[in-house]
Amino acid sequence: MHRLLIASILVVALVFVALTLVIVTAKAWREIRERVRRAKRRVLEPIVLGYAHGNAASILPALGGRLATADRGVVEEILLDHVQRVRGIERERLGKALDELGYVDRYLAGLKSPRWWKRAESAENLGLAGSSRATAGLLVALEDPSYEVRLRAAKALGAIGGRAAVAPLLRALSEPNRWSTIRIADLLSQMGRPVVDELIAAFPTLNLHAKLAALDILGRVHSLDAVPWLNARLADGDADVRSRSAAALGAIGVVDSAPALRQALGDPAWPVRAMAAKSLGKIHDAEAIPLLCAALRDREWWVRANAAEALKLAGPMGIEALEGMLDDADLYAKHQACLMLEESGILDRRVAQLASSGAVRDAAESIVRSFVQAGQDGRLRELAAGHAEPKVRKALARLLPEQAEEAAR
Amino acid sequence: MNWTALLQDVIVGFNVFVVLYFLALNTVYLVLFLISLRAVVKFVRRTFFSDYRQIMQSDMTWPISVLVPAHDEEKTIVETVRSLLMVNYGEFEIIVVNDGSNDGTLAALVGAFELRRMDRPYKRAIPTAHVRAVYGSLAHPNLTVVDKVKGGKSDALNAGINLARYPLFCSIDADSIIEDNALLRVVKPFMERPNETVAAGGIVRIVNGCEVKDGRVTRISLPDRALPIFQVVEYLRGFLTGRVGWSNLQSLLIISGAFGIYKKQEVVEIGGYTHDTDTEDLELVVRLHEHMRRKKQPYRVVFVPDPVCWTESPESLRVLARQRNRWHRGLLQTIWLHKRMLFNPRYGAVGLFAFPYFAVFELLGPFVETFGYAMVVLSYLLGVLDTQFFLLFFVAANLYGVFLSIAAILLEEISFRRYPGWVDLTKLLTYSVLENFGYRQLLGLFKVKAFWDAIRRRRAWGRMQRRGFGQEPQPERRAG
Repeated sequence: MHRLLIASILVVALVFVALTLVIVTAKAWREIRERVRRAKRRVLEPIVLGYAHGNAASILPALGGRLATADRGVVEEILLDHVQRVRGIERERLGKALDELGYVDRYLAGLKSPRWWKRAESAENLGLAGSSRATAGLLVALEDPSYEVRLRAAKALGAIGGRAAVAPLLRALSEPNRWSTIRIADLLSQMGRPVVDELIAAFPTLNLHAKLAALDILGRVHSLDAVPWLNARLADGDADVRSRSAAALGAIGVVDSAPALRQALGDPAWPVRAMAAKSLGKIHDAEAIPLLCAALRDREWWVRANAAEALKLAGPMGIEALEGMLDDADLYAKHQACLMLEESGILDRRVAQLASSGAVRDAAESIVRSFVQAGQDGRLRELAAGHAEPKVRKALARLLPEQAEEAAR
Repeated sequence: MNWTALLQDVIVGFNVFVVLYFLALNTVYLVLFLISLRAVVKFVRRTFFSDYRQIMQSDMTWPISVLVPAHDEEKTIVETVRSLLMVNYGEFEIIVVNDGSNDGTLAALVGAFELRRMDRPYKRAIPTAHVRAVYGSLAHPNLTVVDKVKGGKSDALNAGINLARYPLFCSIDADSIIEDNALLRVVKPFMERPNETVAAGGIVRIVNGCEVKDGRVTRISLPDRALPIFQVVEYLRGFLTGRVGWSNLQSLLIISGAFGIYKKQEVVEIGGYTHDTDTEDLELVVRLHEHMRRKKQPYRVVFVPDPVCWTESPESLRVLARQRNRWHRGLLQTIWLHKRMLFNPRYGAVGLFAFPYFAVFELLGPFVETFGYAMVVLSYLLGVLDTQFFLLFFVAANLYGVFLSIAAILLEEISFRRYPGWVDLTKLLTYSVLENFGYRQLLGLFKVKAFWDAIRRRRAWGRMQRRGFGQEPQPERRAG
C-alpha cells in the first residue's frame, strides 16, 4: 500500500511539473511568435497594400523577388485580412496575389485534408481568394461529409459567382439547425433575385422545416415579385406556412399584400392572426384599422398585443382608434389600448391638456376617466404626484378616485 | 466486549473507506477532465466557424428576454443594465425585477433610464408576490422594470417570466456583467438544435481585480487579495473541467443563476422557479431533467464555455461562508426534493451517474474529508495511526488536488486565455497549489455547517457584500 502511494505521488508530481512546464512554455512560445509576427507585419503590410493600390503586374518584385518561407504566414494573414475589407480592382489584385504566391494551391490541397476544420478553412479562404480555379474543387467539397465544409464551399462558390451552390444550399435548408439556416439565408439573399425563383420552384419539394426557412428567406430578400406567391401561401393547409407567409409579407412591406393579410386576421389559427396583425402594422394599412380594433378582443394575448402595436404604428388614425377602444366592453381590449397610449406618450399629452380649457380639456378628461375606469391608472398616479404643472396635478387629484376622496377628507 | 478494540476496528474501517472514496472521487475527476479537454479543443476549433456577425444581424435569430432579479442592488444595478443594453444581439428585452429592495435600487433605475409607469397587461402564468408597478422607458423601448413585493430571487424570476414576451429567457444576476457577444454565444445550442435544447449556461468569471468602465470589463487581471484568487482557481476548475465534462455526458445538473438561458415554455410547464430551496438555479435544472425524462422527449441541457459573465466574489471569509452555506444547503434540499431520481434508471445518465455523484461526492465529500481529519486525531490518540501512511495519503490527496487545478489552468491557456499577463499566470499557478492547504479544508467546514443548518431548517440568503464595480471595499452589511 505504501509503495503504491509513493508511486502515485511520484506520478502526480511528475504530471504536475510537466503540466506547469507545458503551460509556461506554450505561453512563452506564443508570446515570442506574436511579437515576431507583429514586427514582420509592420514591415510587410505597406508592401502588400502598395501592390494592391498600384498597378504592378506581380507582387513578387515588391517582396524582393521571392517570398521567404518565414514570411509566408504573415503575408497570408495580411492578404486575407485586407481582401475582406476592399472591393473592386483592389480585391481582385489581392486575390491574384494569393494565387501567385501559391496560397490558392495550398488551399486546394487543404480541401483534401483528413481534418474537417482544415477543409473548412481552405474552402473559406478559396472564397476570399475568389479564384475561378477553385470551382471544381469546391464543387467536390459541396458533397463533403462535414456540414461546415459544405457550407463554406457553398459560400465560396457564391462569392466566386458559381450558380452550382444554389441547389446544395436549398437542400441544406432541410437540416433542422437554425444557426446554419440563418447563414444559408444570408448566402442565398446575397445571390439575388434568380435564387428567389429557384426557391419558389423548389418549395413543393422541401420538408416543412425547409419550407418555413424558405418563407423567412423570401421575407429577408424583400423580393417584390414574391408577393403574389406569398399571398397565395396564406391559404396553405399548414398553419405554420400561413403564419410565416404573413410574417414574410410584413417584412417585404408592400400594400399589395394588405387585402390578403386583412383576410388572414380571421384565420382559425392564432399564430396566423398574430402575424397578420403585426404585418398590417408594418404596412400601415388604414383600411385594416376596424379589423385591428376587433383583433384587440381576440382570445389570444399575442393577437391582441400585435393588433395594439399595429394600431399604434398606424399614425393618427390608429391612435384615434385606440382612444375609441378605451370605452370598449372588452377589458383585455381596453388594457391593450391603454398600454399603447401610454407607450406612445399620448396619455402624457392628454394629461397635459387638463391644464387647458374648453373641448380640448373635456376630451382629455374623458380619456383620463376611461383609464381610471379600466383600472390602468399607474401612470396617472405617477403624474398626479410629480407633474410639473400644478393645475394638472390638481385636475388629476380630482379625477383619481382615492386621491379625490383623500382631498375631500 | 472490548470497546477500545471495537473503536480501533471502526477507525481502521473508516480509513479504508476514505482511501476507496478518494480513489473513486479522483477517478471521476480525472475522467471529467479528459472529457473536458477533448470537448474544449473541439469547441475552440468550431468557434472559428461561428459567423456571429451574421447571426446577430439576422431577424431570424430567436429573440430573448433577459431577466435581472434585483434586491438592494443600487450600487451595481445601473451599470449592469447599461452593459446589458450594449449587448450584441438582434432582438432582446431586459426585464429588471426589483424584489422589494430597501435601498434606492428602483430610484437609481428610474433616474438613470428615465422610466415611467406603464400599465402593462400580462398573463400570470406562474403565481408570484404582488407586483406593485411596471415601468417602461421611452429612451430604451426594450427595457422594463417591475417593482414587486419581496418574495425572494425565485419569485422575482417568476415575475420576470410572466412579463417576458419571447420564447427564450436569460437569467442574469444584478451584480454581474455579461460580455458583448455572450448572448449570441450562449443561444447557439438553441439555434443548432431548437427542438431539443431546453437550457444552456455560460461561464462565470470573477470580476474582482478587473477594470470596469461604462458597464464593460475593459482590463482583465486577477485580484490582489488571496481569497478571491482562490475562488478564481476554483471557478476555473468547476466550470472548465466539471461543467464541460458533465455537459458532454448529457448530465449537466447546474446552470449558474448568474447567467443561464432557458426555453420559457418548458419552465412555465413545470411551474417556474421554486421557493423550496436556497439554490433555485440548481433545482430548476434538476426539475427540467425530471420533466423531460418523464415526457420521454429527447432534450439537452448544455454548458457553453466561452460566453462570459463577470461577477463579484466574496472578499471576506464571513461572506464566503454565508455564500457556501447557502449553496450547500441548496444542494442538500434539491437532492432531498428529487431523491426519487437517485440511482433510478428511468432518469438515464442523470439518475444513474450525475445525481448520485452530487449526492455521494459533492454533498457528502466535505463530511468525509472533515471526519477524516478528526479520525486522524482519534487514531493518533488511540495509537492506531500509521503516521507514514497518513502523511503519504495527505501528500497524494493534495497533489491530486493541485493537479486538477493546474489541469483547469491548462484548459484555460489552450482555449480562452482571459488572463493575459505573466503575473496573473504565476499567481494562478501559485494559488492552485496553495488552495489545497487551508482554503479547501475551510470550504469543507462551511459545508458541514450548512448541513447542520439545513437540518435545523435555518434559511438565510447569505447576503453578498457589494462593492460596486471598480470600488474599494466597504463595511459589511448584516445578513438579510
